[in-house]
Amino acid sequence: MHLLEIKDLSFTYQNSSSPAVKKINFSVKENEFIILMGKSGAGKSTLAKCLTSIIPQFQKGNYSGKITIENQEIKNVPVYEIAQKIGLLLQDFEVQLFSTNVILEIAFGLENFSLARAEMEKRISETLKTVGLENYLNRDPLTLSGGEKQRLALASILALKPKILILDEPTTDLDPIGKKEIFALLKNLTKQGLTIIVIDHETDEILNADQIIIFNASEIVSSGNVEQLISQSEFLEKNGIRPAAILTLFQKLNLLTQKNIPKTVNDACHLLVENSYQTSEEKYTLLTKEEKKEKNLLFQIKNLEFTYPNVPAGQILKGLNFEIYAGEFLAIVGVNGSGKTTFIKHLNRLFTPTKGEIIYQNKNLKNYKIAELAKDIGYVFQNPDNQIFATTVKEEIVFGLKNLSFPHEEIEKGVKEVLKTVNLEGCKDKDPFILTKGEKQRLSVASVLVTQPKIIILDEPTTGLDYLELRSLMNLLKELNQKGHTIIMVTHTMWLVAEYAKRAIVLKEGEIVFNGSVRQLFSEKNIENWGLALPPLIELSQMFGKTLLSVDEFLFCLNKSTDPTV
Amino acid sequence: MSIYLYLERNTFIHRLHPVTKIFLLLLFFILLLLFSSPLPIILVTFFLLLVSAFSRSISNLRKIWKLMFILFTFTIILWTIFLKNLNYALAMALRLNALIFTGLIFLSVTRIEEFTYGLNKLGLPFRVSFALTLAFRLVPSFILSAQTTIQAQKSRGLDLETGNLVQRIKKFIPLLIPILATSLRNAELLAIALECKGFGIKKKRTSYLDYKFGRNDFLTLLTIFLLYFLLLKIF
Ligand SMILES: Nc1ncnc2c1ncn2[C@@H]1O[C@H](COP(=O)(O)OP(=O)(O)OP(=O)(O)O)[C@@H](O)[C@H]1O
Ligand SMILES: [Mg+2]
Repeated sequence: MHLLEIKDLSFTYQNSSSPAVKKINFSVKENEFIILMGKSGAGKSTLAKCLTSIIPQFQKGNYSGKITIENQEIKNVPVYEIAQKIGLLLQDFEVQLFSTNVILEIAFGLENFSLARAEMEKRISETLKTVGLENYLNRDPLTLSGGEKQRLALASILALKPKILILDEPTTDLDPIGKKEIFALLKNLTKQGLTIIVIDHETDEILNADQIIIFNASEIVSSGNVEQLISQSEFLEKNGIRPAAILTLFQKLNLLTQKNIPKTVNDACHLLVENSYQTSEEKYTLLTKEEKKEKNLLFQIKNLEFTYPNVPAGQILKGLNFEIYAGEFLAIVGVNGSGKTTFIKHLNRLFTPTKGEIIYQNKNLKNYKIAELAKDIGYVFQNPDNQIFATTVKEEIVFGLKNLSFPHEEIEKGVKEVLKTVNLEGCKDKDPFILTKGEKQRLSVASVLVTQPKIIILDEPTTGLDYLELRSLMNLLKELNQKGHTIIMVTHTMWLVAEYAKRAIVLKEGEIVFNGSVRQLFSEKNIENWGLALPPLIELSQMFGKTLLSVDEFLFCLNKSTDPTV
Repeated sequence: MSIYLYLERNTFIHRLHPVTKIFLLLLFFILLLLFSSPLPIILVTFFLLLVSAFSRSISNLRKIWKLMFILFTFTIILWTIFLKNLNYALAMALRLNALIFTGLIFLSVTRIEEFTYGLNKLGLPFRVSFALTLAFRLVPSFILSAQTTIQAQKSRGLDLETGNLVQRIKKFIPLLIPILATSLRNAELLAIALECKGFGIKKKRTSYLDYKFGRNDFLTLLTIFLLYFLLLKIF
């Protein structure tokens, strides 16, 4: 018997003309670990909501087909009944938090499930430990950093120990080590009898799953085991999934055959050596030499300290000292809660230093007005929901242009162009609230880019984006950077840092632990202590004694040894 | 600025049973509504000040004294104009302030979850006590998301720093509507999230918070009752 069975499920939201999911069929066995992937807007979250009867209980529309859990049809069962079997973490984790401290946030569900006090205590301390929040017991959830909030939302579901766990993009805001730990935890839970369905865009974690289901345009286009799918780069890419970089490399080298799929970095290394590939020292020197340093000082951060008033979190920034140069592409990375968001909010004066100062173009930043800085500095917030407020997409984009008194013709033109760049042309008159998370993310980027600020600050701009969206956003930033715009980006996605950024700052507990070129960063041994992880491709390159940041760099440096004895 | 009024302290008053706290709140409300001359209300206000000092929550008073002052002045002016009775107007203004003060102390010493717990213990169904107190929880998250939205708008060139107060308020008002709309929508999502955590299950709910009605509660209520009747006797 199947635990969960979905038969011919279709659903169209009220006020929408096309179905959000169409003729979905699949079934889930006990202890399975399934990953649902696919383009943003393909219907993954809708499916998750159907599986817990949120659709049609809360959100109405045209529903057909049948979902059964242990042979019981769920369509008419209240959500709280389903909750006893299925735990669902909604994608929007911020709005789920409502308690006044971390403990009570987790206790809420346990109380509903009528657990005894002692059992609650046990589960609360257990789950807080698994998500790494054991030192946050009395913190008010509203004062947590983005990643910390996501960890808490996840913990509050994990503590319920449901039979089936459905997680809608549970690790988007987590630091790389946190991400790895959560996936390892999930894998472990399936061994303890849980069944898990995760919606995610992460390719690096895909190998944990038993089954991958891929969505495109409301339909399942493929489902099968991981090994079958993972090597089909083109197919993956077409469906908004990033193919593993190592596999892309092998494909470009024409080394990829059905029996030759490198599953680990070690495999890949052996295969390369077997095929007598080497890396060239001269070419590597060329690569490293090319890195030019920008020289025109933009920001000078001097002994910057910051403490949130009235919060027991303590000092958040502990004396930062560094420079930001005009024309840079700077990445700011570090574990959740290390102070990244807190720091960048100082650059356009949203926050004022508790101590220390920031010099911007030879003048203390505090002598500028925020509105004045807005001409120069664009800022994309970590969670698009916080940034978007207008009632149509167009209005949202026009807001900045109007404030900065752009002439009428330019406004029309700007809106049109930027909508095209972020691929939201069809959404001009839509209410931003009904957009998917990925679309909202692009809208918030567009609304900032439209005024073409000289300096663009982005706080985790790629969360919730599928691979195609992500590439187009990053390429856009790259273009702007080449035109002279300064880009400052906070992110947890290491391969993005490797491919796009030139310099990196690593924060840990409010201090700078690394400040240097990206290549240097990835050659550091300490990187895991900073909560970061090496992308597999770079790991592979290090087996050859180099730090190569992208597939292109790898191809550039690889030589086929002609010496037959090797 | 801390976004909740609750102050995590370990004072005698903080340790009282939630039900006791709710009783005290109601007693003071009723008491204040019974008086219509300034003197007893001033006395009660002094008593409240003592309570506030004793529970180390004066800092919250500092946060809202401006608001209280404005309300005070407005009430006096309005009542004097309409009733031409300064004494009565003064009493009304003092009463309004004392009522706010009472509520403020209550929220400073009572975690919102305690409030829910107390109402529940008093016999209200959990759903109802939860819904009633949820409003109080949503206020700080509303303020916080409003702050972020305003930050976002400022960072896109909205100038809230120049101009006089009236001009700034004028620029500010239109922002409130979309913020309010977002909050309402978020509340909808919250309702879904709550059910995903089993809110609504028909079984009897347990509680993580657990309070015993003790000697201190008894003595406090007794003392307050005595003072109550004393005051009512005199005035
Ligand atoms: N409004 C606030 N009040 C009090 N403390 C806060 C507030 N916002 C953040 N903090 C705390 O400050 C620290 C740094 O937070 P910050 O948001 O800068 O982290 P971050 O590096 O951006 O993390 P993430 O990767 O999770 O986004 C965290 O410990 C957080 O809990
Ligand atoms: Mg952050």
